[in-house]
Amino acid sequence: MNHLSLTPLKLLLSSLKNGTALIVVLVLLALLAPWIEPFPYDLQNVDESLKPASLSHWFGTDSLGRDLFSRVLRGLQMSICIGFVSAFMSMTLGACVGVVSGWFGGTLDRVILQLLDTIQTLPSLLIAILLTVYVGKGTLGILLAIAFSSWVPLARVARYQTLLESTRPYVESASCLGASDTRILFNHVIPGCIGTWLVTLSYTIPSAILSESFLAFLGLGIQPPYSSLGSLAAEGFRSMRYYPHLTLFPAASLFLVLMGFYYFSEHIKSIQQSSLSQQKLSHFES
Amino acid sequence: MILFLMKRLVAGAVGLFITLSFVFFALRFIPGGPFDQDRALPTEVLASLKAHYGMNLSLSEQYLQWLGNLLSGELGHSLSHRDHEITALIQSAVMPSFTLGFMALSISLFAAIGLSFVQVTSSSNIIRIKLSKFISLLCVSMPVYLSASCLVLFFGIHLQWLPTGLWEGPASSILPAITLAIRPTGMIARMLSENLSAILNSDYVRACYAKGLPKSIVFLKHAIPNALLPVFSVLGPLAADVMTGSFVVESLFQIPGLGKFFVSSVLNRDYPLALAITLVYGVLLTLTTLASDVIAAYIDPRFKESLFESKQTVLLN
Repeated sequence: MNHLSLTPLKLLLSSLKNGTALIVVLVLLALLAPWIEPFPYDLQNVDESLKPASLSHWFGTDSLGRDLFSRVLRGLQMSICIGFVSAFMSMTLGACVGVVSGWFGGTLDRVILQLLDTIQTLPSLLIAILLTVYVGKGTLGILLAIAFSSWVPLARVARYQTLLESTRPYVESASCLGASDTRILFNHVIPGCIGTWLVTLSYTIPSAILSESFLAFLGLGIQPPYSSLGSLAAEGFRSMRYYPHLTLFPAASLFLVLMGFYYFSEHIKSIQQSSLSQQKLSHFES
Repeated sequence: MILFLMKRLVAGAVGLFITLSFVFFALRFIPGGPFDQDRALPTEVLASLKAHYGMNLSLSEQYLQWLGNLLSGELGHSLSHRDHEITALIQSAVMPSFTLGFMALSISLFAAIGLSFVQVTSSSNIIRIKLSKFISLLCVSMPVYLSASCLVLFFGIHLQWLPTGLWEGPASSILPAITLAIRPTGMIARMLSENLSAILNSDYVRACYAKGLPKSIVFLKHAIPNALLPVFSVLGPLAADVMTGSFVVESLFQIPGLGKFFVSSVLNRDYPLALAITLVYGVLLTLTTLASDVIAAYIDPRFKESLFESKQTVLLN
């Protein structure tokens, strides 16, 4: 009985350790932002402008007198949303290209590999800058830019994983049983790859959030009146010398988000690796 | 070996050519032009400006002209920095950027080794596993805004020890280099600690302990060189990461480096300058990747075989 009552506490502790709790809190804050925020995020009050942190304005106010805490909440919402959507987009693109390249092999594989090498000689921020300038500064442009500048490593992982999976004994036995190529690909190879892809996806989310903060600094990120954590921190940095709270609070929140996601990815990775090694063990035992 | 180098260099050159051509056309298709101003220029002035810079020709003719100039080593004139040859501009910008990048990479390498040294030699389990993982993840997820503003506020403004920006003398490079080094430090430290945990359980390390070597010697002479091998093979992607960081860090600290020039050139539609900097970055990345492969091959013969047999060399994860 005693150990049962301890389980929720243990669960809480372990989820604190691997970052899940942090992410859950941050995502909840982001989802509930409209109800939590003490002031509307776009309410301007010039009498109260550039105030440091106080009891009424937890994070202080910006140059137009907007409450920084509310803006950080909205920024959190935007950053997490950008992270998930663009990471998912780049994962989809990378997985498609990687699977095609790994599955068909031959000349196509070599062409795609050369293409990936070529794209990698471009700094990824360059691609993002070109795309945001080209598509426009809207949210869609930013999502596309981040997705297109980060899919190359994912394509490599997907290709490698496809190659690895297609040499497995169960794939061979499936083809011996007369399964068609499409059936093997969609029912056996891709499901076998998905675990690794999810791990890669979880690492892509924080790096997408980071890319957006870089774009924001160049003035290509989320445009006002909307804000992301990156755009708030970048905007605040310009007056960092006199009003440090404008950059410190958003940057610290950005740091917490990234930290949570990286811890979470490490956790997923360790789970996946331990399940892989268990698979190998059972393979040898049988 | 020479054949391999030639092959890689040719592949790199072809890749660069495709990249540059892509960037050339991508830049031209972006709306806006280099001579756009708040007040519209008279048509005659605009026409003569375009004629002066050879922009009255059709796009394909411009492309061929630019290609011909490139092959003869001419990078042309900048459109936004009037009366400046691009070669001179880049020469002035290369030094700060390279110094910063080099400093950042060296700092991160040494910091990561130091971190893993503490991790390995410490006796308490908590420091060994939890704290080192925490510190490396802390470094990886530290946004440059936070590290830069904390460093500037503390060392620059509170203590007034170091200059907070610009590029004047060696002291001004310290804060930006540290800012730039934080993320690679975390990455290298994570790789090192993953490799080390496998190495420290291996037979040859146990043999070293058995013959009575102290912990620090085993670590520095036997464990670290082997743990560093995979780090050398990802030096290329790491350099790319440092470069991306330098775009922002150079702007944060007002350093007249390549990254700052690049961003302003794309935003001002300064086509020749943007292309030239892309060229510099591309050459640099290709060479770094090649150099890191060659270094890794020299240190570790096993890697050499895999390098020559298949083209798939740098596998992240």
